[in-house]
Amino acid sequence: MTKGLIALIGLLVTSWTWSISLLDQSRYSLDSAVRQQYSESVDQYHNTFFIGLDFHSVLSDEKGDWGTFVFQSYFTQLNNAPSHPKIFNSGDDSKWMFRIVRLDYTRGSYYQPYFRVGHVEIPFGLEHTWDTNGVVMDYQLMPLVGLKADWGVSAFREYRAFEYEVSWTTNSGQEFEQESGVYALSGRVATSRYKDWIAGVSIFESNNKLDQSRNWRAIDGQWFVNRWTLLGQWGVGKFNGDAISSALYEVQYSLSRPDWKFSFQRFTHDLGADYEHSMMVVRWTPDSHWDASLNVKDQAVNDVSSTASIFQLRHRF
Amino acid sequence: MKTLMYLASILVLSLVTQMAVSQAFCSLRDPYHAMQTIFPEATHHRSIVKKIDHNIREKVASILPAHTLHYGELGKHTLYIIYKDASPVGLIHVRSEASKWGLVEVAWALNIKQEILDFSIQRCRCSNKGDITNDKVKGFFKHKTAKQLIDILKHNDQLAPKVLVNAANGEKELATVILRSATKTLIVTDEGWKEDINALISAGI
Repeated sequence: MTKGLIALIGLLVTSWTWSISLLDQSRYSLDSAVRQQYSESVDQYHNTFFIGLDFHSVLSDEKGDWGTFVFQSYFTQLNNAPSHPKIFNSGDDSKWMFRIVRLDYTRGSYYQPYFRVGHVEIPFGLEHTWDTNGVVMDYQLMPLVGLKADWGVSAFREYRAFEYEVSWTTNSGQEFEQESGVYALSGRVATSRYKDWIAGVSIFESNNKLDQSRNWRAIDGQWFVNRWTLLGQWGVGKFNGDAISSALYEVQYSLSRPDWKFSFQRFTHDLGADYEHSMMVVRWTPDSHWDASLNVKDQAVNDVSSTASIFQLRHRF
Repeated sequence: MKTLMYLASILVLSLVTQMAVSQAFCSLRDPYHAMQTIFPEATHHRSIVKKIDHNIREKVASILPAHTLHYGELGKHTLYIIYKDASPVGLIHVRSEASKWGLVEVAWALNIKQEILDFSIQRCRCSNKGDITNDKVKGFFKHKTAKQLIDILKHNDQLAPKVLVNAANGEKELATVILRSATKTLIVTDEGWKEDINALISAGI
């Protein structure tokens, strides 16, 4: 019921912005992808199919721009998945899912923050500066904070020398639910993302439905030199009072026209179990429509090793 | 079997593809850094989103056959009108240009007459990019029009002229990339947003 209401509101706002802007101030794309996956731990092949709408509109009045609206909703079909997010009933289930749905209000004096409401990305660590929606690599927000995007609000602003975003969300993930004592608070301050080196500081605090509390304090750094990119993120915190830590390192090499990107990521954390992985991703984007990626991950949980791989073919119309 | 079905459905749907759209739209950002750097007095801005299509690509190709638009440069793009209170103080158009260091993203600031006022490098992985953002280079581009830049490229074998290379402390390749970016930006701005800019001029602004 709630998801249907949100989808209806999203489509109504989409239609409203579509109509008032006569499509001129809007961008839209049909976005589809298929992922073929293999998990060595269960010796099983499985796949996932996505198709959905990616919509963006600039909102203006007689005084100029006052905001933007983004609506991303995807039909997701799992096939033979050995494990699945709890919103799916089985490894062969399908669901309509929201990625990013947000309304940004971007009018205010120089020192005033801008505001954002909706299913917003959690502002934490390296993920804050990289778009990993719909791609087969990311900066591990799910294992660290349990969320990649969540229903709530944030305040943000970007200046010449630095940027910041602070969010308060419901810690409900896909399904909007607000329960007393359940929340996620996250924030990041970082130097300008347009420099050759970027440094950021993040904090995170949450309490979930199972009354488990989690907090993180993390720093991140990025260095760009010619075709190379070096990334690092280190965090310490507490989970239900027990000390936790994490570390992430990544090296990227990029070619352009046609675009190839090669990434190697090493990630460790001790939240719940001792976990580490080494992950190699190759991504090819020959033009503005197609995107092919291969992710091979060698992981160990409490010293038990296994390999998993994902091949994704994505097309945007 | 299901994977093959999904692949087939993507291939069939791709046959009806119209306009290229590359990145997910949640990653689109207004060029606040460039706006604040070039127009620190600005109070607000207005976006005008237009489709840069194959017709514009062919027009650019007819003017600059050696530097036509890549298919990845097509799609919807934004021209920003920058205001101080009620008056526009300039335009900003951000374009990416291919180089040996990857894509170089430059925010070009123009006046209403579509002359270059200034520029800000948003992304450039060349370690010597400081050589292309100094006052001498900016002075070379200031008040240049599309016609002037097209003539410069024509008379210098489509490369940066000596005066620009010297201003960039000998960085010939980077100077050529910036010159190409400036020229294409001016041509595309005129082809894509001519009516909107003429409306501003007609309004007496």
